[in-house]
Amino acid sequence: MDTRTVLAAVLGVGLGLVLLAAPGAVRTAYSVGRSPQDRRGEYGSAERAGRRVHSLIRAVGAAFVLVGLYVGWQALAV
Amino acid sequence: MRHVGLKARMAFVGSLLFGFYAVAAVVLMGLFGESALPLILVGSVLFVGIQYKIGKWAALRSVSAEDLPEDRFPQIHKQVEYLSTDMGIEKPRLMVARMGVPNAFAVGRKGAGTVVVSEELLQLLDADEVEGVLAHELAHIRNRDVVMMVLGQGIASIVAIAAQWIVLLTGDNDLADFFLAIVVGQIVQLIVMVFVLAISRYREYVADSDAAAEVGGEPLASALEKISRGSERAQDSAIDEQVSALCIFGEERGLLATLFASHPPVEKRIERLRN
Repeated sequence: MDTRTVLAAVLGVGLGLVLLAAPGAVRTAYSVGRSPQDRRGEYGSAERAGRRVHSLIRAVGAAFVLVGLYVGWQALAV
Repeated sequence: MRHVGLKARMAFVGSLLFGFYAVAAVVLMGLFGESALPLILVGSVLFVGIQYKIGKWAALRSVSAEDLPEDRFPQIHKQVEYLSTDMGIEKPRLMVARMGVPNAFAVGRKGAGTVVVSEELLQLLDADEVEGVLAHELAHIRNRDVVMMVLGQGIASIVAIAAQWIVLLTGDNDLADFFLAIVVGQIVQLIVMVFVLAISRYREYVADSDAAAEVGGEPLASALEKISRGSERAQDSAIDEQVSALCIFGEERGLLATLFASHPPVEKRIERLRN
């Protein structure tokens, strides 16, 4: 079994689960330095994205999980 | 010495980020040859510079900010002029926007800064509280916080790109390798951003402290309290759909939310401002 393939599967699924579980945190990590973190939401709190952005991040997370599972299945099938 | 704690933290995190960047640069040189070094350096500067410019433009455009008229808001202009002189910076451009919530933010750098306040904030807060908020935003400009965050994000992105290239060029170019490259790049970026965000949270405390040094801690503490009280009332109401859409799945209190928060909790900020 190819190590890189297994790593791709495990890390891919892991990253996907993080995106599914914490889209707000992920969004903050990618937007700091690109847009002011206090541009939306009330003053004093970190920027919070709307439902659409969170849904998009979760969709990407789901895609990572699916691709990770597929890659893992391919590794096991070989 | 001003901001000893911040300087120490910046030295530590800065060294880490430089270390990440240096490793990425060395690896890229190893992959593409020593002649790639000037390209890597110029590319890095351009990458960060373009991100900074686009970020500033996009932030102002996204809220449709307009210049704050001096004839309608003479007191605010005077406050900012006085605070800027006291802080040793040029008076930034003042803008106003209808954001739907009380808010303010700063973009740009010393000599080319912009502070945007929302109409809702000006309506909600009294003059002293607005001054506290303005002092906080001016402190961000004076302390170069915006530039630092752009730099931090830029380094994270460059290191992530380098990690992706390492994986791609050392693999067989099949689907698994391509997927691994993407995943490794994103994970590396997230790990580096943990350090950048820790600094971001600390810089908020420093901006609070600088604002307190100018106008006292109570105005900003009172402003934060007033706004967060208003936010709690809105969240309790079933009618306010927009606010409830922002409170998603309670993740704000989880470990990941804490690690990746760009701002410290409001309660802690208020407590520090009052002590």
